[in-house]
Amino acid sequence: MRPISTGRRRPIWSDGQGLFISALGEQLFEVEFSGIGTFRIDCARKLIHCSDAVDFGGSDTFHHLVFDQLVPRIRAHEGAFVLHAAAVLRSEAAFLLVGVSGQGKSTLAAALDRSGAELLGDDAAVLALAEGAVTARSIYRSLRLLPDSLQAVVGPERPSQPMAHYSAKRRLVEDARPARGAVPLAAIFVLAPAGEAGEGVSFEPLQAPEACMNLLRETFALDPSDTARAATRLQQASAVAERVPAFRLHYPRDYARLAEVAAAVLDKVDMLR
Amino acid sequence: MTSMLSERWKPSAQAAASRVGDETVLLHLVSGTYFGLDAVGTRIWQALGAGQLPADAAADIAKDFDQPLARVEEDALAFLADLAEHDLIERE
Repeated sequence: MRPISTGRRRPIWSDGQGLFISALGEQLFEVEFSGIGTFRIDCARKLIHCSDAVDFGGSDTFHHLVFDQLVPRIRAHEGAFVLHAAAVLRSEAAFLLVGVSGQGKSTLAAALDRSGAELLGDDAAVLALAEGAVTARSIYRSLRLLPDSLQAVVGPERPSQPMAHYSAKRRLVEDARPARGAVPLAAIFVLAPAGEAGEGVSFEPLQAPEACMNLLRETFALDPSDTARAATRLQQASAVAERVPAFRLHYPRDYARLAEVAAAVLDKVDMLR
Repeated sequence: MTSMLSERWKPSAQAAASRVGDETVLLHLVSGTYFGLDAVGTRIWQALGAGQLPADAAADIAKDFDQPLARVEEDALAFLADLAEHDLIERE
C-alpha cells in the first residue's frame, strides 16, 4: 500500500509497552505497534493506512488494532472525550466501569449483561456534554475476555474468535442487538484494584476532584504531547465529574460471586435513577 | 526556602487548572501528571494566579481559618516547593 505521504518523523509518545506514536505533520501521525505493524493516520483526510511490510497475524489482530487502539484515539483527537471504560445500559441510561487494564472491567460487564443490563462495549466509551447532561456511547459493542472469564461468565455456547494473535483474549462475535446511540450517563464506577477487594461489595463515593483524576488517567489521546488537547481533556473530565455520581467499587474477584456483584451494582444504579 | 513566600510566583505555562467543586485539579500538560488541590491549596493557587504574594495569601488563610500564621506559612512553603518541583509554578 502507498503511504499517505512522507514527512519528517517526530517521536512524541510511547506507552513503554511497544506502542510508539510519532508526528509526521500537524494532522498526520504514525502509530507503531512494535513487532506487529505500523499505521499512518491522516486526521485531516480521515484516512488510516497500514504498512504492507508487516504480518498482522490475521484479520483478528487487524480488527483489534484498528477498532480498539486507533479509532478511540482518533475520536479523541477530533475532540471527543474518550475513556478507557466499559459501558453498560440499564433502564435507558448508561453507567461506566472504569479501571486500568486487568482489573475486571470486561468480566464484570459481561456478568451485568447476563443479569438484566445491556452491554454497550467493554473498552472505549465516548462521553459528551449536551444541555448540562452527560451522555455516553461505546465505540462498538466489544467484549473481549480471557478464556477463564469466557468459560465462567459467558459459557462455551457463544461464538468467539481470537482478539489478536499475540493475546490469549478472545473477542465475542457481535450479537444481533442493534447498535445504541448516545444515552444519558447515570453513574461511574471506578474498579478498586483486586488487591484492595474486601469480602463484600461496597460503593465508596468519590468526590468530584478524585473522580476527575480517575477519569483523566483513563482518557485516550492520539497525541499526548498536544497541550491544548490535554487542557481540553481536563475540562471535559471536570465537567463529567461534577455532573455524574462516581463511586469506587470494591468487590471480590470470585467468579462464583459475580452474579451477586452484578446484582448489587444494578441495585445501586436503580437507586440513583 | 522561606524566600519563596516573599517572591511572586505564577502558574507555569505547562500547568492547566480546573475548578471541581471547592477544589482544583491541576494537570501538567507535558508530563500528563495530575494533582488535586484541597480548598486551602485552591486558595493559594488562585492567589498566585491573581499576582498575590504567597506570604499575603498565607496571612489571609491564617485569619480566615483561625490558624497560627507560622503553621500556615510552613504548609504554604511546602506546598509551593511541591508545585515548583513539579514545574507547575514559575517565578514572575
